Amino acid sequence: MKFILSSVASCSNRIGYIKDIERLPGLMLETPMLLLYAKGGSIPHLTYEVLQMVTKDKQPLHIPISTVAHCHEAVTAFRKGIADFTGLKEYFTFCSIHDPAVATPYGFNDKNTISIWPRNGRKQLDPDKYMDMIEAFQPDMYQALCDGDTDLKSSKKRIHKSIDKSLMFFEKCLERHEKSEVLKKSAILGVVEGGYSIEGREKSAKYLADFPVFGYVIDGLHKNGPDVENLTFEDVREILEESLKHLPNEKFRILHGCWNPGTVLSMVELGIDAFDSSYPYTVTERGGALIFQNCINNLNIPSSATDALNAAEPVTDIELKPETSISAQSSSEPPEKKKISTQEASHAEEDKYVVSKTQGHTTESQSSRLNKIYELSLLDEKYAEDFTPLSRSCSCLTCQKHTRAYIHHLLQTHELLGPVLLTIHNLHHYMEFFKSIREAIKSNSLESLKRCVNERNDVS
Amino acid sequence: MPVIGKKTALRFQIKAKCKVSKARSSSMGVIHHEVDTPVFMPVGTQGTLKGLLPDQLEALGCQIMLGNTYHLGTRPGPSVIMKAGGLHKFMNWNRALLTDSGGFQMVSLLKLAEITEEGVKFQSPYNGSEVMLTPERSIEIQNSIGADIIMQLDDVVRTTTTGPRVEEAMLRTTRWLDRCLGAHQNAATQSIFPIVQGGLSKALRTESVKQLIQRDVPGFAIGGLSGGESKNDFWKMVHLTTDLLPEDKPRYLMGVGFAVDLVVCCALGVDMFDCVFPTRTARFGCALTCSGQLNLKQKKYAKDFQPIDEGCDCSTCERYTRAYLHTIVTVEPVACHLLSVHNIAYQLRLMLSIRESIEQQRFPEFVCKFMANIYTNKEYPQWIVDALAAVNIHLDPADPTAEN
Repeated sequence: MKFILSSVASCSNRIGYIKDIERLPGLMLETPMLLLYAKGGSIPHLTYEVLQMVTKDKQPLHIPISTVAHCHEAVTAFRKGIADFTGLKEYFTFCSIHDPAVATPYGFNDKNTISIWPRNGRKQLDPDKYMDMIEAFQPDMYQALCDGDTDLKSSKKRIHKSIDKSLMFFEKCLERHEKSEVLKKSAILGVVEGGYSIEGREKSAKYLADFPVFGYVIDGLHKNGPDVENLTFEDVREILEESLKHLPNEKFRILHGCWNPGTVLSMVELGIDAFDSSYPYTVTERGGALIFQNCINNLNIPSSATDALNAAEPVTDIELKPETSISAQSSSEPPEKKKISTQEASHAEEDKYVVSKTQGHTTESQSSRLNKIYELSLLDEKYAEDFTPLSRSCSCLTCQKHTRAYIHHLLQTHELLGPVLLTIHNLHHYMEFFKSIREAIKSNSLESLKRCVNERNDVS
Repeated sequence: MPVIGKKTALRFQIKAKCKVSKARSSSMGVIHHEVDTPVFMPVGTQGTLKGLLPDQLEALGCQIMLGNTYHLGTRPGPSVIMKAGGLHKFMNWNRALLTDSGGFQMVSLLKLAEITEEGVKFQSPYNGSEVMLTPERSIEIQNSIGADIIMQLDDVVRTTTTGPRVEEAMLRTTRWLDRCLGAHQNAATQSIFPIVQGGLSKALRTESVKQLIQRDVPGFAIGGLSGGESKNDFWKMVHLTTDLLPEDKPRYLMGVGFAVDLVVCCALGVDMFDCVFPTRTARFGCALTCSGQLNLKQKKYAKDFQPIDEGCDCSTCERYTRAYLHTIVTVEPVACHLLSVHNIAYQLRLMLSIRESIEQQRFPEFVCKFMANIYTNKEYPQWIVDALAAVNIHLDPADPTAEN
């Protein structure tokens, strides 16, 4: 399996692709990439038949181990891995440990194990138990076992523990990985921890940088679940920068969690290559339909030519300053030579093991404001007689064939088709968003896309 | 007798009759679809069929679906459906629809229902207010829903009720039919079926049919069965009723949908069936096959890497194993969708096989083979043996597949 970053001269952001996947030789996956969240091995609410109506593309899947741990014995007997077991053998599979859409209970990890919560109750995993499972599941890509039980509030001591334990787990997993016959076709990812500590991030990333891994998971920023969408980019910016700058530029980077679309864009600018679809899932589960502007609207937004002029002026408060992004062209440069802004460097000295100053940054009104930009709540009584589609410009099956009034009725009556129709739309909308991200990077117009995404969309 | 609704929105044409039993294969043309009968109608209570897209149902070969007037009349309500242009448009289903009258739900779901000559009085479960469902109101709601076939409001009594109440209900059902026909606004596009009542009494059933066939109606429903009576009583009432009903109109047996019941009642001359069973049982992890039911929750399927049914061509059996389904049934909604697809495919394929065997004059053989597959030890329940014998199909325990 190879990860290749395109070195387009005009392009300041990372764009690339994964190819030569051993199990799926014909498949090429472009980055920045959306991994489809597949709880229990299926995309929530979508059978294979309906998934084909959403997209015929073989989108990569994100299967959290915690949601399939109960299948371990059966998949072992099956011998052909988790993708084939769940009926999705044509799909690339990535296995994480925790479920990004569900808050992970904290405080259950002890010295030698971490805890996951599959259906049959708490299960403790040490590196050997974890690797036994990975050997049975044979995912195309997986993360090493880690203790990422940290967030904005974690103490210095807890962060230290998390780093040390994760590094110890990593070495054991890598050792098993390298010895394993069945995992020869799989790629392992190192996991960068360090909570919200600059020094901790540096330590974890620097340690991992020298190992022969396919890429990295940036972990320990949150404990999963819907609350992640309320974290702002400012909450995590410095920590992400610190994590990334010590890692080899040419390797693949995943960040889990249901970040909101504005934050995702800023993270793409920093150099994250893959996200999961727990965000559209979370929106579906609360009866929402994504309606944010997911592509560059040529009518209202200046073209890429004017982007450069406007780039320095933040358009919204979620805006990221462009000079903080790491250049993607420098794949030949050794990691330590990467550009670091002066602002960042000074922070690194001041903030050793200090919880980020931006903690608690997001107020409730801010998050509901964000939700209004990004989604409609179909639970709202005002849609009871609204016979228009969720989004007029959308080409998904739901928008082509069904109305807001019908979906409102299905949600009111708790009918199973409600979340099915919302999933079809929300996944389509979010996959289109990722297409737009890749196009915008290629045409150097990411700033325009950011403005569109964070603009009030007057479709309702 | 009032003769209302001369212009009928339903054409019924018998294509083939079984030369042995009363089974027939027909074509029933309604505004939205040409329906092949005998037909099984899946129940889409609230304007949706258990998580399946209309496109999936069409692909499965579903020709007609049932909606419940009581539920639809409450949510989203007739006004929203009317503004949407009818239920077909509201749910984007382009084939045939049938709605019940709402009366059955009131009596079965609501404790406080009180039946008078005027209608069914009940307390709204939503706001506690007293509501009266009259025959006129039922038709008014069904007119706004716009299903191809609609049901008269009938006076429903428990199947096991005996005494004068059964007769009262039967007679009132006829009076209510006349009020329904009088209130009907869309005779050109919607057809009202009356409902044969009379409990388990031969005399009352006979009288009910005698009264109903004097009205100008395009088809008949057989009501008041499949509610806890013995199978012996059940088949005898169906047999009697189909003997009395005119041959050139469709007969709809309400609430029947177990595979063996479908096969027996087709032999007795029934054309239409509905039942929540295939989709309800899917929710509990149960899959239907030609050799019976599989409960996929059971441990024995944990390492069973076969599809539910090797012989099934549905989208579930094409891709999913029993072992994987075992890990998600009753937990993930996807499992419910996968089993609903399979179970509906099973029911619809069964009906297709019945129609084909009637058309090819091998229905009795089909019935024998079908029963032998279900009852592998050839110990057939007596009621099945008797019911089939009544229409000259003889299950021979010694050699069930023998042709006569």
